Amino acid sequence: MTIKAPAVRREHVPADSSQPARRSRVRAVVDVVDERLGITALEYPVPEHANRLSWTLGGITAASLGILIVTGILLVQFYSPVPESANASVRHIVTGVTGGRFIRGIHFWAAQAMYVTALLHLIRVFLTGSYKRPREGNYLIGVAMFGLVTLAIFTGTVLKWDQEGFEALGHNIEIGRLLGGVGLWFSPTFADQVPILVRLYGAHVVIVPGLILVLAVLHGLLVKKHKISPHPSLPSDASGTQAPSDEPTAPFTAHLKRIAVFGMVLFGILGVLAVLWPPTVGAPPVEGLEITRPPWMFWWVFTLENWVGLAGILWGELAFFALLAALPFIDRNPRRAWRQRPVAIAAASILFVIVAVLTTLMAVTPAKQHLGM
Amino acid sequence: MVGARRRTSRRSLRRALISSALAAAATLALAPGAWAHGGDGETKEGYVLVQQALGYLAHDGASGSDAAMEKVDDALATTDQEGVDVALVQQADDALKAGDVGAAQDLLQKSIAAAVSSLKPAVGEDTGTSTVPSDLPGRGPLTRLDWALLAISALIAAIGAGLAVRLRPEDTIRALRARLGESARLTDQAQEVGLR
Repeated sequence: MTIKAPAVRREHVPADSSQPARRSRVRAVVDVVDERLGITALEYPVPEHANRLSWTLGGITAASLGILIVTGILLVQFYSPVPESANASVRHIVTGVTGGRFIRGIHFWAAQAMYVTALLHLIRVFLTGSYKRPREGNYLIGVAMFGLVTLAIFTGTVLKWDQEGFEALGHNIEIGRLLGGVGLWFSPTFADQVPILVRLYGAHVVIVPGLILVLAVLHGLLVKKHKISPHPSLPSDASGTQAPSDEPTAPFTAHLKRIAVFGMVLFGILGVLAVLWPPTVGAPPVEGLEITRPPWMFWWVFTLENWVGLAGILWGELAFFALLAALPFIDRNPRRAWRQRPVAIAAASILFVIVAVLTTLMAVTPAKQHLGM
Repeated sequence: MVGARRRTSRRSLRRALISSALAAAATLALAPGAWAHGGDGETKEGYVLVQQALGYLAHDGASGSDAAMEKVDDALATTDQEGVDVALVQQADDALKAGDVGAAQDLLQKSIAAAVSSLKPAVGEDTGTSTVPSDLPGRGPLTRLDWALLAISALIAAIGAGLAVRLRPEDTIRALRARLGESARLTDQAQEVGLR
């Protein structure tokens, strides 16, 4: 009796160069490029479950980063990072540069999208246990990138050089003082002949995106090395760390195609948002006032600030990222399905609810009440 | 087996819900804490006080009049009025009392012209602010360019969505699970046959 296991539906079969097959011009061009750059190395197999939307969120985050870089390059052509003219230059981008309002709107909404998709990616990684052995190191790289995305949003908020941005900067300078020597870079006395806005501009356009790009490359390489983690509701291999060999696979290039089309959808949605709800430009900053709310992703720590002072922001953020970083070392349960990890799920639910309640409290608190003056 | 799994699932869900509800209650219980963060303290510089009045008006419009008037009063009372045209500030105060925010903004801006023109280039955390125009709203009525960009964006999103459907994975997770279960069952059978 012969019993055949179901065949793998789609497998990558390298092109057989000995067969004089008819090749399209496109294929010929691809071959020429491939011979020199080795792009077919991207055609390694990935398990089919990785092509689902929830497992493509990291790629969509990368697409957001791409949109941010392109629109950012366009914006820096017209932006002046000097305090005397920064706000006016943003106003000029919006009112005097053709398409400037649209480009700025896309940049603004892409930043929100990147934060949301990175957060959703992090939640997916948590729910499917993808941070477990041997992927702890790559998870930490992901957490670091999430921190950098937060920093990029903060520095971008300051660059508008309106009251909101200036108040955000003021908080940051105070937190830098609380940190003592560690926060020296954020101190205006670190380079007292240079406006801190110029240094934050450097951080926003070079240091932060540069670090994100380096870490993103490392993240991708480690995903390739460790392979996509198994889906918790599907069987895994004997080690429990990989998808089974009989799960259908598709080449990574198919995964990239999915990311590209989701990136298209994202770009279209960002375009609609940029036209219908472009971001405002606030009045130039005035010292000694505190009348604005920070961007929504910082609301929860600002509620903490209302309760315990500036240290609330510092300790809230530190505790949040410390918890994220410690997760793979605290949760030693080898199971990946969320149903079989009641402690981790309960702890994460508590954290989620705390952040949601703190955020909601800030949302219903009038901005001026935050002053506490 | 399935029943046991469902029970575990329900238990996990119940635990998560209970702990979340407790967390929400605990967070709300802490809410009436003190508003601990204060401002940076009152400045004595007259032109900064005038700028603060302008800041309230620029940010809040007419609803910022009360706060702006307080700052104007402070500017009129302060000892450091260098570069400030006090007569204009007084006129602005009158305009605010009369409810004419636009005129007040104009007068306040003119009253500090001398002070802001003598400011050194901004360093450190200096604002470098000389004029305080009102917030720029997101957009006005849609222009022809806006409509074109809106149509192109919607088209790109629609094409992307169509392609995403076309390139979607062939199997649902449930189908994959069934497929892999069948594969495992056949492998077990093969092993059994081999053992015989």
